[in-house]
Amino acid sequence: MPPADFYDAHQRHHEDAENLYKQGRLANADHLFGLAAECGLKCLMTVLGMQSTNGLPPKADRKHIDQLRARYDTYCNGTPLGAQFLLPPSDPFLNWSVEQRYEHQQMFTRAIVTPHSLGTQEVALLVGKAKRGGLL
Amino acid sequence: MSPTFDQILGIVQQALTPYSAVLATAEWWFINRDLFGRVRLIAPAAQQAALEASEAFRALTRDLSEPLGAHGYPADVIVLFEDEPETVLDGTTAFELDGFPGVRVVDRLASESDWGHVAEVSTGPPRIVFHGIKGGVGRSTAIAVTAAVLAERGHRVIVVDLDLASPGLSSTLLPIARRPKHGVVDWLVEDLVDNGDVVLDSMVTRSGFESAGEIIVVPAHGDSPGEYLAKLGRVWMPKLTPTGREKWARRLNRMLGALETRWRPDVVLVDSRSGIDDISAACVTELGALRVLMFTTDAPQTWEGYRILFDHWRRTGSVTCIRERLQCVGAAMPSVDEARDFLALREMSWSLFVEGVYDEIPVPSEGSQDDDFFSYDVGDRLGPHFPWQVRWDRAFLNIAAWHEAFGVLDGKVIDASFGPVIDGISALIVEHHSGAPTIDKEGL
Repeated sequence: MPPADFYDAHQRHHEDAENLYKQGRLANADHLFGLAAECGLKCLMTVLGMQSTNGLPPKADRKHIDQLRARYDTYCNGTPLGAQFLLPPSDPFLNWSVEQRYEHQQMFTRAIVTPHSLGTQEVALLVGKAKRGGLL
Repeated sequence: MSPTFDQILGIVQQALTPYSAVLATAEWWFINRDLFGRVRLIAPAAQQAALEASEAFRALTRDLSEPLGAHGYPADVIVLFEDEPETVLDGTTAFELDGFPGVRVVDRLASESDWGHVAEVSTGPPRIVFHGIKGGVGRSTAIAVTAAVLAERGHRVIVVDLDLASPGLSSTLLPIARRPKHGVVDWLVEDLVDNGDVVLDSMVTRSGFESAGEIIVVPAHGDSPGEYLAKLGRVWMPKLTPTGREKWARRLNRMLGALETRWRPDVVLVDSRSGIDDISAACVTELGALRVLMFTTDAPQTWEGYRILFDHWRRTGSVTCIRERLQCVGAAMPSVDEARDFLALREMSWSLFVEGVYDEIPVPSEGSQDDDFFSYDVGDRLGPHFPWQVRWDRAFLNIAAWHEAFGVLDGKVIDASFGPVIDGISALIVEHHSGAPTIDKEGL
């Protein structure tokens, strides 16, 4: 299995999510926002010390965005560098689920999707910061 | 041979010189020196397609990448594109690359200290920072004596011990029984969890020194240091709020503001850590000090330290923001020829200010006046280079507890030794408040 490229995955999911969001295709936008944020955080976790084996993160870190925040915070707390990559206290993805890809699209309103869009932008800012810092 | 860090900017300037036409195609550019000291160019994303189609731009990336060696990136990845310059800055300061308008240098640092960002002078009571490149030059003694004399003159003085890594000022100012329960470090840790108000009142105490005014002491830690190292390791933390990220130096600033609001002092004296570390950076540049007293001995390592600072301020363009707030203080040293030593110190200080701080005055032309320039002659007492001299006196030897010495020491001896510092600060207080000191002893 080729090693995961979390940076590239984060960027392409995020770009597609934003495009769908602008077109009002909220259901798939929401799905991709969640995946983009997940890949962005895993990208940063790699910077902060997460070790992958055979292209896969450690078992404890194989989570989707709705369950990933605690793991991310653990990596941030594990190194002084982590202080530069802290996320705001509230987690906007607690109501996101990968299983929602099977739900009817009427379930996805702007009130639900917009916080996920903003949350992904927060992650993207930190990924950009890591890139400019020479960490990626 | 691959260049070293100090050669980076010269190499970049040389590499960019033939490409002024390319640089003119975008409003802004950044030379990004990352955490490892490697360099990338950052350009506006709006120009990405046009730039990447340009042969001249591709040549620029090659000519930039190759001479930077270990400090560069391969030409195909040496440029990043960003939508907005604010995203690139991300709360840091940048300075213009000499000779290249519109091209700014931005540094990514592992530490959050930012000597290049100088906060506006605080709008509250004057804050006077006591700083020195080297320790052991009588900085804390000067604070203790100054606070006592100002209190005798009727002022309410807050003294804050920010020498967090080497606390001790409070133990010289306070008998054990008067020490408060908490200190600066406790507030900085509690503030991270929005709990700062719990310790705001229990981190200060009166010195107990009988005077017309009073000294309010804010120690680094309380009567029991508690788990001091575990707390100290957290004070540098930024605070994250729903509205943004607040650096630790800004939190410190906020703490001082809260103390000033609560106790309404006439002046705040801050004991900064010596040297050029994170705490001193915060004290000197981020607290909005009205004056930064630079305690100085005529020693090569001291001048070298100040030269490093002045060079940085000049390079980053912040020297004009801070130079009117600087004041050289000649630290007390035993001497066999005091007058000669003072002149030597004054000369060295002046040379340093001329080299790094004062404006170069061009040949006078019609209509120009010297007043347009920030520059002073060596003997001009108004110049920040002119040392406020502290005179050494054996009377101050072995005084470990100033709270016991106050009232016992001869006022003439104090004046002879610390007069210029005390008078200088007094003048600042009077100027700031534009009137006689007032004291309201309610509260504590």
